[in-house]
Amino acid sequence: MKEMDLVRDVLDKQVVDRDETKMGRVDGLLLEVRAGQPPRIDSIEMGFVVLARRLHPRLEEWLERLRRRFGVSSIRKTARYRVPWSAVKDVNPYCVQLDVAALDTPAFDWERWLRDHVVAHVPGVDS
Amino acid sequence: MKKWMQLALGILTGVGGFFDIGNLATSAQAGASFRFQLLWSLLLGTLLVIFLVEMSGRFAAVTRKALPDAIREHFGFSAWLAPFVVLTLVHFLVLASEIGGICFALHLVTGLPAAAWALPVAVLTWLFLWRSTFGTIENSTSLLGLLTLAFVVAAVRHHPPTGELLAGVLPSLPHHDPAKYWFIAVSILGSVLAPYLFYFYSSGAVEDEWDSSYVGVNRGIAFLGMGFGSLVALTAIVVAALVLAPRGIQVDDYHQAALMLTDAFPFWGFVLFAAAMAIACLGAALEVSLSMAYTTAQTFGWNWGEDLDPREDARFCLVYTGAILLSSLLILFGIDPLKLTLVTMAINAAVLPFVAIPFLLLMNDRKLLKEHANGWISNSIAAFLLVLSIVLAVVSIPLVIVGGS
Amino acid sequence: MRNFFSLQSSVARGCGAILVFAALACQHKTPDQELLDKADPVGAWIATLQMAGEKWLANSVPTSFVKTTCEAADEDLDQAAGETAKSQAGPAVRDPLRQLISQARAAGKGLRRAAVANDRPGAAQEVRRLAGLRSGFAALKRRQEGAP
Repeated sequence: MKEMDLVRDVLDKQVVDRDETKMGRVDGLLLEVRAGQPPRIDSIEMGFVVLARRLHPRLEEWLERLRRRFGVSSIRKTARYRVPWSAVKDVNPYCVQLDVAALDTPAFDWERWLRDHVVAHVPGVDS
Repeated sequence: MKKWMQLALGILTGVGGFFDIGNLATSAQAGASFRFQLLWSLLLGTLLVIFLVEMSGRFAAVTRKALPDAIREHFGFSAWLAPFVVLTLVHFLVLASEIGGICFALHLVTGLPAAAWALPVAVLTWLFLWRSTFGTIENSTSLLGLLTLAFVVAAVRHHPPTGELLAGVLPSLPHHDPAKYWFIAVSILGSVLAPYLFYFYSSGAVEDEWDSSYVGVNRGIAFLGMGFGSLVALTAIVVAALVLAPRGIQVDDYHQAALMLTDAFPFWGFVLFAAAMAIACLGAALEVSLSMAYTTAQTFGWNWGEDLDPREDARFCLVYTGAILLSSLLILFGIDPLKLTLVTMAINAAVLPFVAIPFLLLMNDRKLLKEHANGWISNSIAAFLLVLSIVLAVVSIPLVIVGGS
Repeated sequence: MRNFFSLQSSVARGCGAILVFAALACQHKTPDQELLDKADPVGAWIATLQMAGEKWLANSVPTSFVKTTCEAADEDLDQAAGETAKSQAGPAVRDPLRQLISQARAAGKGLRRAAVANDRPGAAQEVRRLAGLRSGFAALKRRQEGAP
């Protein structure tokens, strides 16, 4: 079993998908606390709201409220994209690789929306 | 491409790409008001930026990561947030200053007001980024930027007094206007040690797919590219000292600087100045807006790369688009471009500790860099830079208030 | 890391405050000296207009440049005139300076007119006038520096 320093090797690491497309960063980690046993990683979390919590819990609430007010949930379905640890394919010095396709995940919600609704309409783009 | 060809290209682009609006404004002011007395400030800044650029390139080549990427990863989001916000702010101000420079150059040749050029220039700059690849941008604007060597030629033609020149290499106290003297000294350092420079350089190295075998090439580019590049800024001081100072012209407005090359080149001087200003500022504007996009995208882990089609990295592209548009508004609404530039240079100097300290710490991480971590020479320079940057952080804002009027 | 940054910023703020107060305290100038220091741009613009005129006559710069330079000069000279009027300096400094500024503005307008009309002798005349104003300004500064 490989030893891993969670903060040094996982947190804030670049997350990539199956094809090594950059998806985001490990913004947060969820650990499962079990009685009488050492804690276990449950999942990694990605999202601005997760980052906000690291700065200050109230910031997280405020950001969530903003999200609801401005109705961006139509674009980005979940504020927190939670990836179960089982989906993690590899952790190496460069990135954390997930066994998913970026385009199918909430991490790419904004990227997809911007591509389809903004970039596609710019005159300089070849189709 | 063979390594030596890349070295040659890197040196040429380093020389052509060195000069930007910050150097132009501060060099013209320094030469016009204090003749050769401030040469020491430029030389000090050059020495330090050579080492910063060398470290930045070495880091990217060995770790295959750019600075914002590595700093967030190593120090965590909470620690990176403040430097990131500060870095974004200075990027923005520098971008506005560069756009202001392009607009003024166009104003010189057309007579139309600079503010009128703000949106067309913004669109042009954006179009370059949207359609080009990294290599095209880097090479085309920096090679065209060799036009700034006009300052070197002009300086030689003026036959500067070598005794006075050499005296300016050593720091000296001003005979008049000390507040202005130190303000310009700090601004010169800020224009040469601009944070966007060494941050951009690391992302550029990753775009160019450098690896450990490029450490030698990088050293050559840093020393020779930056070294000879600063010659342009140095000769700009010399030319201002020999053309403007004797006539009692101090540079409070870009119109006064525009006369600089008309003595050495009676027929072409005016056009050369405008062309050099436009190209230098365009090249820098492209770099700064890209640097903003790199920093933001890497901080949040988005897909990034100038070689990618905008459809593949929409968020990255929208950062530089938004940055160019918003900063051009500053020029559109008529902010004095020279004052903006000078204040921005002082702010560059003021924020140096925040943006350089995480970087310098990483340069000593042996796990990351293995045998390429900083040796005692680089660390001595780094220590000196650290002390200097803290001094600059303390004095620059008060100097803007007292000496920058 | 966070503690280090916050310590750094509070030290910086403290030193900055001290420096600003020190600098302001050192502004120990008489109103006459202060006005003349503020008037440095006036001398610079007079010299700039003179050089712009000379270069136009030598066909080194286009007419549009002379036009826009005269406009930029006029704006700054106007500002200088306003500051002179507000200043506490004595009449020995204020009056000659005020005259210099208004004459410089007139010469600037004259130069602009001559360049636009391609009137070379007219432009040459304004250039000579500006040269005279430049010596006048230099003399004023020298007198003030020589004074106790």
